Amino acid sequence: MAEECVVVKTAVQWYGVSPILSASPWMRQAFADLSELRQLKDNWDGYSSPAIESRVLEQAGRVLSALEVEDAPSLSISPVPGGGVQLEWQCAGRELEIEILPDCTLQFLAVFGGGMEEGVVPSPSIDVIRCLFEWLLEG
Amino acid sequence: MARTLPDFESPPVIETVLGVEFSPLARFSIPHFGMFWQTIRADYPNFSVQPPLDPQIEGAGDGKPPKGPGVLIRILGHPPVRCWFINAKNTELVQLQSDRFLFNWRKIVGTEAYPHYDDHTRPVFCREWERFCSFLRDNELGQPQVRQCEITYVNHLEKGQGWQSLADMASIFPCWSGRMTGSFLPVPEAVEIGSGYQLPGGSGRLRITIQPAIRHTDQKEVLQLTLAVRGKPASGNTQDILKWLDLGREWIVRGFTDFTSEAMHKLWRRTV
Repeated sequence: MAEECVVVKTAVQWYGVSPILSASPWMRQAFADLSELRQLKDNWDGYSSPAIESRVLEQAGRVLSALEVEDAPSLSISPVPGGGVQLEWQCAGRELEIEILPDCTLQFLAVFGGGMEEGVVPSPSIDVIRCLFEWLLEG
Repeated sequence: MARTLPDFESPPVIETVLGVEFSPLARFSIPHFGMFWQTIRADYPNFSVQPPLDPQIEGAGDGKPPKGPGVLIRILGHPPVRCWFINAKNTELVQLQSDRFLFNWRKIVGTEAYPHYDDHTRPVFCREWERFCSFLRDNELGQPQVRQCEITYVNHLEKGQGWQSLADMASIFPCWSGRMTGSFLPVPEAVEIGSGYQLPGGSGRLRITIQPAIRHTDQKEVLQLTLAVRGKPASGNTQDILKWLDLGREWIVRGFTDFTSEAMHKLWRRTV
């Protein structure tokens, strides 16, 4: 199985980290919210969903780190049945959802006006993530 | 194996990297990533495609300050790709691009014991490097012209384990006093430190960096202490590469011990 992976740096290091100095307040809050998801146990939704694996949370952290903006629209982070994580932003009539699936692949849903577009984010995908976020902010 | 260098029962190291940088392999192209993967796939069943690393060649150790990245020119025709080949436990990784070969070990926090260099990471690196050279020979792709070796240790000092705020930095790192001339500035929001040290005989340079960061796997706040040595081995044969890595590793271990306080050594249960 191919492990999809968003890359936020070109370094020899494998462990993903976000430097505190470049982590804006919204990003710190987002990491705190992700940390809460770490506490979920198996069957957290009453429908046999597994706990969310560390690598899924790590992937979510990499997505967030790719968004190098000081101010971001309000972000909602929620667990997805099956062991995934969803990141959701709304901004001036536009809505962007990025879902990290249990196998760490990424899917997006962009909603605008009466339309919507969805797809899989290819790997390595930092540019795609940034393009989606720029689209959201232009709303 | 008897330890001669400083040793700790519970060191904060969470990742080690051993690697070789070489002149771009002229005939190595996209299909060869997959062909090489077939030779190691039983040990590294997962893969990921990454952007390539830029060259990071250290200066000759002539006393001049190290140069910054400057203008980078990537030779056209070489695939701008780096492949990761990952083991099933998600703890070991082979990184390959047309001018770089790296082996990473990482700790999955809370579950893995630290495998010592002599017992594990050195022999595994050696095995994978030999497999790679053998693959190149078998496919008439030329042999790597080694330009540099590198060894990196990444340590995570978790908040709450020996420090609570950056006001405690001085009790971790003796080189940092935290003292100011006046009283205007508050406790810093972040402290980043970078220092460099030449190895003897121009054989390389040790770089030490400290960076407060949030770790993605568990969103914990950590002080990331990275020690990286890069330099040129006597030749490109495997024995000289290993000899250089041994020197680099010695500088990392002794450098780490010098750079951190005795109070932290107690916390990490120093034994030698």
